[in-house]
Amino acid sequence: MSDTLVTLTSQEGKPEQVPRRIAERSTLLKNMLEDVGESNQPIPLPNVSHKILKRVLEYCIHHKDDPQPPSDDDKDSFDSSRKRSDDIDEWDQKFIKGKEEEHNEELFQIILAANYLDIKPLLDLGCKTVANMIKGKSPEQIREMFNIENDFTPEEEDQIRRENEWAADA
Amino acid sequence: MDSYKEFVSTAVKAYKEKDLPRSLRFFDLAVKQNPNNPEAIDGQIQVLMKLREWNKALEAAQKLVALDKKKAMGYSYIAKCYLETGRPLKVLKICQVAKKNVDVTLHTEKPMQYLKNLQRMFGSAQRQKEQSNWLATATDPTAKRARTSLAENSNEANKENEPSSILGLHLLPFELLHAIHLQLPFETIVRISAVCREWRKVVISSPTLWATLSFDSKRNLTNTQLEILVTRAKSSLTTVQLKTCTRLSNLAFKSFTIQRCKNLTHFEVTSNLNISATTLSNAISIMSKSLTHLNLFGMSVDDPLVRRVLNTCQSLTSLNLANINTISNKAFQICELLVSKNVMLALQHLNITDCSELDDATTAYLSHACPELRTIKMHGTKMTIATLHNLTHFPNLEELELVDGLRTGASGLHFENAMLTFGSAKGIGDNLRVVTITRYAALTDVAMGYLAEFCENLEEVTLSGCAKIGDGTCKALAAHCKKLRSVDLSSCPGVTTAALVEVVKDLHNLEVLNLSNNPHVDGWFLHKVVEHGDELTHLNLAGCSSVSGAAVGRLAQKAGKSLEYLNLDNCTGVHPDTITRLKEALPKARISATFTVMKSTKLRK
Repeated sequence: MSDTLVTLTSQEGKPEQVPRRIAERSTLLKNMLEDVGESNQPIPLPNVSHKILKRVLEYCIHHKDDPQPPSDDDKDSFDSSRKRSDDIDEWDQKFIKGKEEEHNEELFQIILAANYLDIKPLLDLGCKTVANMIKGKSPEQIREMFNIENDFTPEEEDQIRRENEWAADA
Repeated sequence: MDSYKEFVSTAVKAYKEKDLPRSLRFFDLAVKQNPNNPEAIDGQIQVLMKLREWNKALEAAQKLVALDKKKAMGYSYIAKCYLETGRPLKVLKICQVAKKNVDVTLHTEKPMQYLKNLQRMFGSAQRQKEQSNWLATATDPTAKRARTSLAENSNEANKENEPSSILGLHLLPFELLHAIHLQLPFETIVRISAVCREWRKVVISSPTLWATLSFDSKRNLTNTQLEILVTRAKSSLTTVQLKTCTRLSNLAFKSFTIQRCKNLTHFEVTSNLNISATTLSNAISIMSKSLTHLNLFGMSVDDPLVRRVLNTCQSLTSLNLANINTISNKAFQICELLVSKNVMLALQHLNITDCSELDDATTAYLSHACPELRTIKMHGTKMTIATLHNLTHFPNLEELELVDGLRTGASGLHFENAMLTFGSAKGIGDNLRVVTITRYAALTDVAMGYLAEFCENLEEVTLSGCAKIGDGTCKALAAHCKKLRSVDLSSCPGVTTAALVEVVKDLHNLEVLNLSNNPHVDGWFLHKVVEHGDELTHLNLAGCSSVSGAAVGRLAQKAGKSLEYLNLDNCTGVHPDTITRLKEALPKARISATFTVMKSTKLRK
C-alpha cells in the first residue's frame, strides 16, 4: 500500500509522480493522504516551483529509510533549545550546497518549501546551513552576503555600538 | 468627548473582569460617540472575536482598515475572521492587500506582532485551502475544473506575494529566522542585532536567544551592557558566566532580581572583588530553586552566604568556593541542622581549594550531609588525618584532590593507617577513579600501597611533587590498578626506572605518562616504552637530565599507537637535530622542546 504512486503538481502545473512513502516524508502530505485514503487525484502544491519540488524529492528519496521524526504541530518545538550547527552529514552537506551560482536563492526556496510541506529534518538542514553562513561574520559582511540594507540611523548605530562595545568586533 | 473616555474605560474594565457582553455594550457606545477613533473599534473587535462573533468582528475590522490603510492591525483582524470562518482564499487576498498598503516603517513593537500574525495566518490559510480543495476534488471528481481554476488563482497570488527573484533571507518568515538564530552562538546573535532593524527586532524579541550569557575576561563589560542583555533574556536566562569581568559592580546584579531570573541553572561569577556578598546573596536568592551549578571562585563570599546557599539551593550539584579566604568552618555548620531535619544536600562536586580558613571541621560537617558527593578538591595544609576519616562517609566519591598537605608534624604511621581506613571504606574502593595528591609530604609508599590495593578502578593518579613516593608506589599501581589511563609522577625523584618499567609493561591502558624532573629516566627505560607502551600517546619527559638523544629518536618507532604529545623541555642530553628528525617522523605530534638553561631553541608544532 505504501508503494502506490502519488502525483504532486508543482506551481507550474507540472505533475511529478512519487511513491507514497516518499511523499509521506512531508508531514503535510502525510496528513492529507491519511485523511483521504486511496485516491489517484493529483495534489496541487502551488507554493513550490517544479525545480524546488524536484530538489525536495531528491532529499526525501535519499532519506526514505530514516525514522519518522516525532510529529508536532506546534511551532514551539523550534524554541526547545539551541542546537549545534556543525553536525551536518556529508550527503546533506553536498545536497544543500547545490549549484554554486544560485546557492542562496535556491537555499531559501528549499527552506520555504520544507516549512510549507512540513519536512522537519530538511528545514533543520536548511536553517543550519544558513546559520553556518552567518557564523563568524561581521554585521557588514552579513549585510553584504544577504544584500541587506543598513537602515539604522547614525544615532541608532551609535547606540548599538555602545551596547556591544564589550564584543570588540561586533 | 468625556463620556467617550468613560465608555472606553468602563468597557476595558469589564473586559478585564471577563464580563464580555457588558464590555461590548460600552465599546459600542464609545464607537457611536466617536466613530472615527480606532481605539474603541479595536476594543470592539477584540471583544467580538472573544465572543466568536466573526461576521460582526469582520465588519468592524473593515471599518478599522478604512480609517487607516497603512496600519496592519485591521488586516490582521480581518484575516483572523476569514480564517475562523473557513475562507482561506479571502485570507490570502487580504494578506496581499495588506502587503500592498501597510507602511512597514510605521510598525514598531505591537503592530509588528500583527504583521507576524498575518504571516502566520497566510501560512495556515495556504494549508487549509490545499486541504479543502484537494479533499473536495478527491471525493468529487466533477469539481475538478473548479479546483484547477482555484489553483491558478493561488498561483497568481503567490507570484505577487513572493517575488522570488529577489528573495533574500530577510524575507523569510519570523519563525524561520528564529529557527536559524537558534543555531547560532551568542556572539553571532549579538552581531545580528547590528545588521538591520528587522533582524534586530527579531533577535531582541526572542528571550531564548539570550538564555546563555557567557563572558570570559571581558574587562570592558559594563553594568549597563549586562543589564540590557539580562533584560532581553528575562526569565529565560539559564546560564550566566562572568569570569574576571572586573568593570562590573553591585549595580549590574540588580537586573537578575528585577527581571526575576528564576530559571538560572548555571551561575558562575569569578574573580571580581567589586561584588559584595550581599549582592551575590540577593541574586542567588532569586534563582535558589533552579540553581544546579554555582561557581564563586575568588569572590568576596562570607559565611552567611554559604549558609544560605547550602540551606536554600536544593538542586545544587556543583559548588566551587575555591580561593576564598573569607569563609570559615562555621559556614558549613548548617549541615548539622540540615541533617537533624533529615535534609540531605544534592551536592556532587565541591571545590574548596585555597580556602585558607577551612580545616578538618568543614569536612566533618559535610561528611554526614552529602551522600551524593563524587568530587572533592581541597587544600591539604589544614586537612589532617581526620579529613581522611571524614571522607569515608562519601561512598560515591570518584575524584579526590588534595594539594600541599601535611608538611610538618605528621606522623607517617598514622597517616598510613588513615589511608588504609579510607581506601577500605564502603564504596570508596569501587568508585574512586581519580586521585590527585600533590606536594604531600606525608604520602609514603605504604600509604599509596593501601590505596592501590583497595581502589582497583583508579583511572588517573597524580602524585606530583610527593617526595617520599618511591618504587613501592609504582609496583603497587602496576600490580593492582589495571584500568589506569593516566599516571603523573612528575617531580617524584624517589621513583626509579626499575619500578617504572612495571608501570609501562603491566598497565595496558596507559595513555598518559608524566615523568618530568625524574633524574633516573634514561635510554634503557625509553627503550622499554618503545617496546611495551602500546596505548601510550602522551609522554612528558621535561627536565629528565639522563635522557639521551639516541633513545628519544627511537620513540618514533614505538609499538602500537604513535605519540601525540611529547615534552622534552630542558632535556639537556637531547641534541636539537634529534628533535628535528623526530618532528619529521611524527608530523602529527605536538613536540615541545624549549631550553631555558641553555641557549633556547623553540620547536613547537
